[in-house]
Amino acid sequence: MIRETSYDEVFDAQTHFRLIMDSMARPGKLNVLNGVAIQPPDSLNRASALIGLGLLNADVSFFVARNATAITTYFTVNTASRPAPAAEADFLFLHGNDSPQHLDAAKPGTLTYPDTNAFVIIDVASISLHPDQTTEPRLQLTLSGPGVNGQQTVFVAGLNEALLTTLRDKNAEYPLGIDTILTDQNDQILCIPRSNRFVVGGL
Amino acid sequence: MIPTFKKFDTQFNFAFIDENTKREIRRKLLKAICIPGYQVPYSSPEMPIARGWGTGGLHVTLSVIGKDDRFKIIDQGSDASVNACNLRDFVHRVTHCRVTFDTHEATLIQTRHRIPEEQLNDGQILVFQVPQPEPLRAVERYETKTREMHGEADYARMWVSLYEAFVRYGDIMQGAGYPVMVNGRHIMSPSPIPRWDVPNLNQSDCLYLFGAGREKRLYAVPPHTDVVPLEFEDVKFRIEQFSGIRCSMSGTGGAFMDELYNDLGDFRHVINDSDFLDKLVERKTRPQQWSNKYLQEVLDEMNANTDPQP
Repeated sequence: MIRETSYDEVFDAQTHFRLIMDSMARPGKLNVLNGVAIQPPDSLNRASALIGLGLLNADVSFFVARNATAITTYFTVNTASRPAPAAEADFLFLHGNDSPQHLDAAKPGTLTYPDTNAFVIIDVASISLHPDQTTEPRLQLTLSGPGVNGQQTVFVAGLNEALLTTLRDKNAEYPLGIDTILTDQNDQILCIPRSNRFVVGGL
Repeated sequence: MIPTFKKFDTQFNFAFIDENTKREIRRKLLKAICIPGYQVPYSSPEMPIARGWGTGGLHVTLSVIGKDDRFKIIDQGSDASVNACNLRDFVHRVTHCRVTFDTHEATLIQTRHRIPEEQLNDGQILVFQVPQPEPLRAVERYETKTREMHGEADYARMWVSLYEAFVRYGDIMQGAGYPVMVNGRHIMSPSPIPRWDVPNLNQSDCLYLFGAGREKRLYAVPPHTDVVPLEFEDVKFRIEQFSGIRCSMSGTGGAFMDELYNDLGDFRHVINDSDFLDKLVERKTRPQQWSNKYLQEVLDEMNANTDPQP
């Protein structure tokens, strides 16, 4: 059990929120969340942990897919948020190589209150705007929609394509859907709000 | 030199609102960005001013503001009116962040009922104070019903009301707060900005956030989003024309004008945006304005009618 003492819940949370909001308003724009020496448990990217520390509190619940005991304790201790099953949680912390069952179960909201959906944070290996930075197999994602000026292409390594297929199915009935944040091991984040459409190409 | 804000030196939290509530507002803002034009309910906590006097804008501003922001606030285009001055003093007192009148220099701008005349860039956020967020309220009084109408994209009654206005008065009469369709899905009230400003919401570089404190709703228009004023094939949206009118202080046109009356009942026109006017008069430069086809028509007409000055 790790109590994060170096995390400043006023100024760090504000700084990171602004970066998350910037990425959410401009899908395809990568931002880096760092500047704090936190020690998240295994199977949780540092950027994912910072999103949790910045947005979770006692009013919302979360679900963790991998290394659930350690990460659940981590978030409970540091944010006072509570764990919940995937179908009820407000935030889902998934891994890029997971099967899509948890994402499939996530809340899409209702037509009268589409804002009651879940945020899904997915840990992947790397995200980049250029195809030449990694040698791992990676997916080419072409985003379009509100926030994107025309189209924006990003390359993601360590992401199961079945997750994207499920995400597209979940987001088919806009304004219902899931708002997704991908985080990588270099502390970068990429947002895919439900208003955006994406095309997947292998590379 | 403005002292930096130090925690525990003051009896209130940085930016006044407590961290739990800020988190709630931040989550709701993210949802609002994900569903452009949809009104997200939020807590609308107590502020030191009454709800309906700019609390929604303040909630948004105080939830996103940081120590490095340069804050500007305008009320009907003016940096110097009562609402703007008081809220600026308040935000400065609770954050100690830099404040400015310069539209270009500001990173975070709160506004009441205007979009600045100068074009905003992708590093800037514009926060609107909204009195009535529900564009359908005039045609349906119950919130449960309007929620269903938005959910089902059932906007027939809105179209009928615009048509009826045309039949009765010969024109669509909404002057301020002209309803717009956002991202082809949600009808949104752009807050009571004049028609002049409405085209600037479309495909902008900056992020627009809306806070309605009394009605407890947040909504947003992300950058590069389609925002289309409602219009018919044969009855088009128009902006205010100010045909042949020049500002009495700067001698130019092509900006939204105020009519100032004197005791004799005479009036003169002055550019409404105080920072834009200051730049025209004091620095003798015309800042980069928004580019949209409606404004372009006005500027073309103005330039065609300009007599060569002796």
